[in-house]
Amino acid sequence: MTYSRKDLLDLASCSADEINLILDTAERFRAVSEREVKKVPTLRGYTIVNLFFENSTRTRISFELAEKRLSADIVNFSASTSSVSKGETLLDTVENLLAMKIDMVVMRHGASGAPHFLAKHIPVSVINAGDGTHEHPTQGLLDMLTMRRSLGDLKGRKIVIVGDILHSRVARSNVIGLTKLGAEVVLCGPPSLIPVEIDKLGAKVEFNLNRAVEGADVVNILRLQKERQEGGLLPSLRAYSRDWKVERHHLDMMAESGIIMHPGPMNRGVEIAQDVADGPRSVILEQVLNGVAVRMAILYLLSESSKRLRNTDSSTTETPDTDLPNIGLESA
Amino acid sequence: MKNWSKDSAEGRYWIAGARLVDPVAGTVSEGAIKVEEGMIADIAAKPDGKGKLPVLDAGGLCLAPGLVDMHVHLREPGHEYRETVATGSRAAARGGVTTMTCMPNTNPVIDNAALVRHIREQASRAGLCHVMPIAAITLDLKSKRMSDMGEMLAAGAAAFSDDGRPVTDASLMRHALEMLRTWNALLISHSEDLNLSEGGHMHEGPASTRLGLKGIPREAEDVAVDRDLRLARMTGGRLHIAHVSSGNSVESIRRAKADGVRVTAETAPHYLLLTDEDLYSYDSHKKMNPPLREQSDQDALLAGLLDGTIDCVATDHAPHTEIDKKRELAYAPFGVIGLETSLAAVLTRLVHTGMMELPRAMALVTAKPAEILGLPVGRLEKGCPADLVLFDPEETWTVRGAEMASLSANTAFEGMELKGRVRATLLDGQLVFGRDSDGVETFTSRPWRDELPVI
Repeated sequence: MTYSRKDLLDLASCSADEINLILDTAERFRAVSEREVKKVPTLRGYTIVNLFFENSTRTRISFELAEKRLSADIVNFSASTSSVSKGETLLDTVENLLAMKIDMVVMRHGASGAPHFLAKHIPVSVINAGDGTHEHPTQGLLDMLTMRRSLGDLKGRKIVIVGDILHSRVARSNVIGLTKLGAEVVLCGPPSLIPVEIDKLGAKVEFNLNRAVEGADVVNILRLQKERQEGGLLPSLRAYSRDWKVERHHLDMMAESGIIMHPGPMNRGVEIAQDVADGPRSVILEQVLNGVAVRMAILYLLSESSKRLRNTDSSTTETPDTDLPNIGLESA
Repeated sequence: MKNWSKDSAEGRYWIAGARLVDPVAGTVSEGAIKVEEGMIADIAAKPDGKGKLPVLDAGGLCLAPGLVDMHVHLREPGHEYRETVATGSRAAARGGVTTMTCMPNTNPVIDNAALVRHIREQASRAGLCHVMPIAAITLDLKSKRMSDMGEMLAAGAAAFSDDGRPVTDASLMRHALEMLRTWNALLISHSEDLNLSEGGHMHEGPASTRLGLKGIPREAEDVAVDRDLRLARMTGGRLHIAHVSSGNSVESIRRAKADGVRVTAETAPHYLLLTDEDLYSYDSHKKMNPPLREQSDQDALLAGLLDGTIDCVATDHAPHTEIDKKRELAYAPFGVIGLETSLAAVLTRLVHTGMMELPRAMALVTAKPAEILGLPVGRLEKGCPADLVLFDPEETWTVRGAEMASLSANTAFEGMELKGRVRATLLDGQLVFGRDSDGVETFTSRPWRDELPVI
């Protein structure tokens, strides 16, 4: 099994095998971060640009660490979406960067589909670091890695995602990825924040939190964006918390080995109670560590696939199907 | 098609060896047409040989009335980098369109008689298509004050619409419908509830959920259509619903018609050939308002066309430059061009699928819109203007925006194979567009004399 795409744009286009390959590769990269010398030469000579059109702390730092631990050279570019409207188009911005010979683009963008648009028009790999309310594939993958490490095989596991599903790219990537791995995904939140016909993506909807968490193996809690009460979607944060804040008593209703997750940043006391966030079932910081490993795996797999795409004129040449790729750990 | 240009310029001639498509009688028959002074002077099995008139050989192709497109944005004045009256006329000629009515959402807005005259003058000078402006219902499309519709009607406005924006004030809409009864003039409604559609980029449904794009529910159209139907019922005004895209709206219009409400409706070719699933690639060329909806809506639109609930097909030709469109879907403007693909799209979707006979499908883009607008065109009858289109219903071709005559290339059908192609367009009996069998295209401007209708 090899990853043979140019880009990682979303989990919707990934097969279960590809997802497992990324997770298996990430397991191996995870060890790098545990070492004293947290660096491998895998991407030496590679230049990667981190293009953040939307504010981000943890995703940007996680990518940056992953890139540095793979010995890549990196350039960071932060721009608010307003600078886009000031004139330069996304394509012009990126083509200017490419003129300086960039090998890979990591992009966070406020518009759904922006990375798809970019990938269609530029020859280098694009990694989606979150696009609008569409997908956040690396977050989905790190969530799955975290679940897999705690629970083993995810087939048949009950995964509950609580919160603002409508505006959440994390939720979409979770639903799409997890259903591909055979998990049962239940979405819970106020009806105004559940997108229409989400069941067509393979998830179930349960508005009542108590019923949703019953027997859950994972409760993944999303951040409630405070601006959602504008626009008539919610009466108030208080009204939200009353019915959808995950509290201590919910833990007892979960499966015995069930875990609590949150992609961060948390609004403690709004969507998650203090003692839930910090309790023994919480694997929230584990998610953060896994994030670096998953991103290292993706950067590595994409660098390999784009090498292959460059070197083969036709797709008829197959690379040998090894069990797992040699990721250069030994030469560290 | 040799000599067509020269001989048609003579003003008196026959076209022979054509398959005459009569959208009103619903027939296709071998025959010949005599043109005299820009009018259809006779229709016969063969040229009668009198007067030694030149005979143009149609080579067995179909000859039909030129298309009437009642929903076009020509972008002039104000956005001439997207389209002008002249370039839009060129696109029309290439698409077999001989009459079009253009929407007033220009800059400045066509909300006064001077601008109405200006558009007509620009069009007559361009000489490739008959153009009549649709004037604004409210000043500056602001939904605050009614425009002077009577004066604009006298200046040559074809109908009234705030297209691009709905008339948000129901009371103002009521009074506009009432006012227009004076002249029995037509109000074309862009029916949309702006609160329900706010911030949306595509149809709200499974595809928007998957793509993470804010949706425009079909109810944004439905509640506005229902309101407008109520007001038409109340006032007795003549209402035309523009660009129907929702299956629910089709049903509302069907019921209103059964109740005798004076309402007509159009849909656009893209709603008949594409659905919201065509946005899976985030292609901004599939973004328009109202948006591409689901298969069930498309099915309802087709059923509506078949039972006459939807009266006609108009393109909502909305040019945008590549700079406008080549960007993130969320930031790209709404709208696609359509003048040069409407004939082929209608033939491909309705005729070649066996859904409709050729003359009936042609009526949707000729006689029906002409009738709604009250214009003496779109018919293949003695005494009608010789605005004609010659086309090969069997020729397949691949749509390429880059080949369009329009100043913009934002077609939603890029790369699609369509069946049916325009070979010649005659305006007042004179060849304005010709495409020979080698694919060489020629445009000839024939400035027309602008005669105002008597109101």
